Amino acid sequence: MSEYDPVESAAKGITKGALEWTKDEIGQKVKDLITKFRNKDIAFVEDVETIKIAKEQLSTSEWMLFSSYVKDKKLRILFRLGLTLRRLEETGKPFDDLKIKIIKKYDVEGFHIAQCVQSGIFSKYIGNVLERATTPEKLKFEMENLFKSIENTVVFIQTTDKEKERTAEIIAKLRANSPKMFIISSMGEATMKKCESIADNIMKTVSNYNFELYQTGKRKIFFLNKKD
Amino acid sequence: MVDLVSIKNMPKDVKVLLLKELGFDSDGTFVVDKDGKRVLDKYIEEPVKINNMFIFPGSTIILDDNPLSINSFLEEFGDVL
Repeated sequence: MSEYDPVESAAKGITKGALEWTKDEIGQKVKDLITKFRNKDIAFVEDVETIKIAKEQLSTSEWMLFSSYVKDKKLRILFRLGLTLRRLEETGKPFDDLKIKIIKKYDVEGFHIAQCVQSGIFSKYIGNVLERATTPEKLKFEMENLFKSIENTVVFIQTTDKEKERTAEIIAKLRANSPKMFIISSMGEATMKKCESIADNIMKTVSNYNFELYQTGKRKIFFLNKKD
Repeated sequence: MVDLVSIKNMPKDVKVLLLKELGFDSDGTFVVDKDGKRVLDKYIEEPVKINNMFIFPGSTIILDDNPLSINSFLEEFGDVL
């Protein structure tokens, strides 16, 4: 038996109704809707799907974990947007418009935070830090620290990147900031090959980090963990 | 919690009627206030199009229904939908 969905039902109801209203009925029907609206029983939306996707993400284990520790409003919105981006990607829906809106509002750094969630880096990162975050306070610190220092700890390889320059840039960041963990992420076949080559070059140069590779069909992510 | 009513297939003239009942109007493309000024989505600071509206009761919040605005709204107002 299918589950009753009030959102879906309401959406179907009004769509069918509005199209079938006669000219004489429109005025009264609109007034009825306004009465319900003023009683705070209904809200109007063009695309119910956008809200459904946003709400679905609130029941993911990632959101539940993150939201219970992190109260920073900007980080919480970017985290939600990262989950939404992932959902859009998974369902084959376009997400370029959302990407542009995120960059316009939160700059590239904000988009990188959302991308970190979208690509699954956050959940793998948490799995990695749980070993050393021995208290809830430390875990909260590690979560916030990943995002607040994202430009120094995570790089997203682009198809337009030049290997030599990107390799040198990452090595410089490792030497300058000496992070406990550094992440090199890539998405798409061409970028994944480039990412692997960059990681290989870094491995040959940097000896104080262990390299761990996570790979899915579309992504290749290297986690560089600083040796004790 | 309020129920969501989709206005996706609602005829444009009916949407305008709805806006007028709420003290707003449309210039044909965008939502305008009683002074004729375009209503800006508070999260993306862009004018709200009549074909992309999200209207929430109370103090009548009108937003663009894009994911950034919707997620920002849900973060600010909590589990209201």
